Amino acid sequence: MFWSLIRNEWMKVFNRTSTYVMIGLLIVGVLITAIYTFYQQKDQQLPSEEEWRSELMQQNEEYLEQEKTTINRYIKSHAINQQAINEYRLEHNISPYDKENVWSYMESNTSLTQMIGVFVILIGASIVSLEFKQGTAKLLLVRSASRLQILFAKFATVILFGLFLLVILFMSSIIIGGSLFGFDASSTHISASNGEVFEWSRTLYVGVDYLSNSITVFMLSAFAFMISTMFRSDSIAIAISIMLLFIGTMATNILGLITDWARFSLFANTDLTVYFSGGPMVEDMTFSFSIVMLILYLSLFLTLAGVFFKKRDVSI
Amino acid sequence: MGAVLSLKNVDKKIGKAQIIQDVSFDVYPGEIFGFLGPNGAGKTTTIRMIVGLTKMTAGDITVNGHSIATDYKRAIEQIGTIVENPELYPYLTAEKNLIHFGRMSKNVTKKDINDRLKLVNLDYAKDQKVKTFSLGMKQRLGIAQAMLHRPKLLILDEPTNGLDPAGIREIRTFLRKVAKEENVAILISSHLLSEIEHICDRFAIIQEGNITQIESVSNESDLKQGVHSYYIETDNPTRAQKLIETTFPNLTITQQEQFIQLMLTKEEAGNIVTLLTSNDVVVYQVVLEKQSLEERFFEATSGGLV
Ligand SMILES: Nc1ncnc2c1ncn2[C@@H]1O[C@H](COP(=O)(O)OP(=O)(O)OP(=O)(O)O)[C@@H](O)[C@H]1O
Ligand SMILES: [Mg+2]
Repeated sequence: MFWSLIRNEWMKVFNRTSTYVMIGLLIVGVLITAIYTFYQQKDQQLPSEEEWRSELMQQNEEYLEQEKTTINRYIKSHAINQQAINEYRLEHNISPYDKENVWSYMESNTSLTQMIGVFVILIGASIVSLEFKQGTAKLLLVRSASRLQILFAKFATVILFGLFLLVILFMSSIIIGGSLFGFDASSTHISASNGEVFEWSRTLYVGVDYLSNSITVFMLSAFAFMISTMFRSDSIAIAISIMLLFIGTMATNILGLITDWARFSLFANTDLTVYFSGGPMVEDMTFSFSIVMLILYLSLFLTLAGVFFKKRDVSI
Repeated sequence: MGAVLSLKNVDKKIGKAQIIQDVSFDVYPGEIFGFLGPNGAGKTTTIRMIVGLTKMTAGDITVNGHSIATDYKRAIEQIGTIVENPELYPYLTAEKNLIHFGRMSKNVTKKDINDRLKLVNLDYAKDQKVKTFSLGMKQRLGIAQAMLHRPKLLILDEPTNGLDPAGIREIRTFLRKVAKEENVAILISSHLLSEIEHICDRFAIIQEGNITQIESVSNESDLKQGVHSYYIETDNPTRAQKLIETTFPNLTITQQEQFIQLMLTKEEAGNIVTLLTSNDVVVYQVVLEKQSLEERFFEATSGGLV
């Protein structure tokens, strides 16, 4: 039964024109960033070893100065991490300049997951409220499927749709990026957290980066889903969720300067890459703390959505 | 045979307002039951409670013995319904709409879907999106949707709303057929008396959330005993009136253009026709005027209904 419900939701999503507009925009987005990157790197000369070495050393002097003088925790940890990375590069002779390839292109491309975020929020916010707007909820709910089954089939569809867009983004980036920049994957990505350096293979890093970005998307679509189920209005849900998508992290960062309680904010926990790159928002936060927080938030969103959806009279 | 649908002392309060009060009635297999009331009487609210979209405040509703409140799944499986307007997915085709709802029930095959589309005369438009449909087409697709899983109880909220006379007649015949052949119990709401009169076997009148009466549409027994109003059309009404007056002096006759009107029993009517024809008055038609439901309705509700 549950599977049929998901097939139904999928069918409804893919019989709407807006869905195809979203897919189209995403591919256009990939094309634009690819072409932009292509013209950026076309005439670029990679600096010689001497040049980048002296550049990094000079950078490190500046960072050291920053580390000593700043009172902003974030600037300080950034300075420490950058020094560690630069030292690692100097020591292992890894240039920060790299011939553009499909993986480095895709790394610069992760901002397109924000676009996916917007689209998935749009679907998540409308998948329940649209049934009420259209009046079809009356026919949907008078069947042997329980309200909760219907609700969770809808949520599953939102998540599947997000994954689908992610696959589209991934595939089109690989195809377009690969044909413009080649598939050379020999170079590595270097990150640092708390002064500790991590060296990644490019492919692995791209995968982790995309997945980690998707967590924000995932949580915010759950949030949008909850709001629209509670208020049966997609506009409120869309407005709040998209606002949070763009400023949530920044706002939490500001909060983090004031109080350690910021660790309980959703956005302090959505970016799991901080544990390898840059460090967490509040110093003593751990990877498992974030996972627990994410699970708690998700359960909260889904429970509230479920309670409201189950309880309320349908009077459309 | 037991009732398919049974409402017992159903109440609905929203906030302080008592929307439905102490509503009870039963609907039996093969019967078309009318639910008649003016706008805002509480028809749709009652239907919403029957199908579980709205919870009742008190009372119980059972479908073949399964309570909507405590055994929802078993109860709702036996119901097919349209609540208020036939709102389907506008961006899906007619066929996809039915596939969608078919997937939500057990054992609905591709063939069932095609059969239902044929039944409501929409197979020609099955690949058309519902947003291109006329109201009548939507209404018919709504009925196909409601009948997809062969329900034992069909609940239609104002099913002829927006249909032209041909469409209304079509649905009427169709519903009668379904009730008779598939022994389905059908509940129809309407604010039109004439509609109830034409389709239903029995009906309940609801006013301001209360059932004021439940009765049968046709009282054929009345016709056998009682005196009724007859209209007789002849080629010469004046001569006809004279003839009748001389033979039956105690009858009151009024003349209305080609017709004469008089109160008669069945036997008297027969005698008068014989009298007229044997005196070379040509009788074109004899019309028995049933007291219409509308009149009974006004009597019952002292004109309180539209
Ligand atoms: N959600 C609600 N909150 C408050 N009052 C409501 C609500 N829904 C319905 N009502 C009231 O309940 C009464 C019955 O409404 P209902 O829709 O059941 O009438 P109806 O008989 O179907 O009328 P119509 O012929 O216009 O379809 C109306 O007075 C209406 O104002
Ligand atoms: Mg109504």
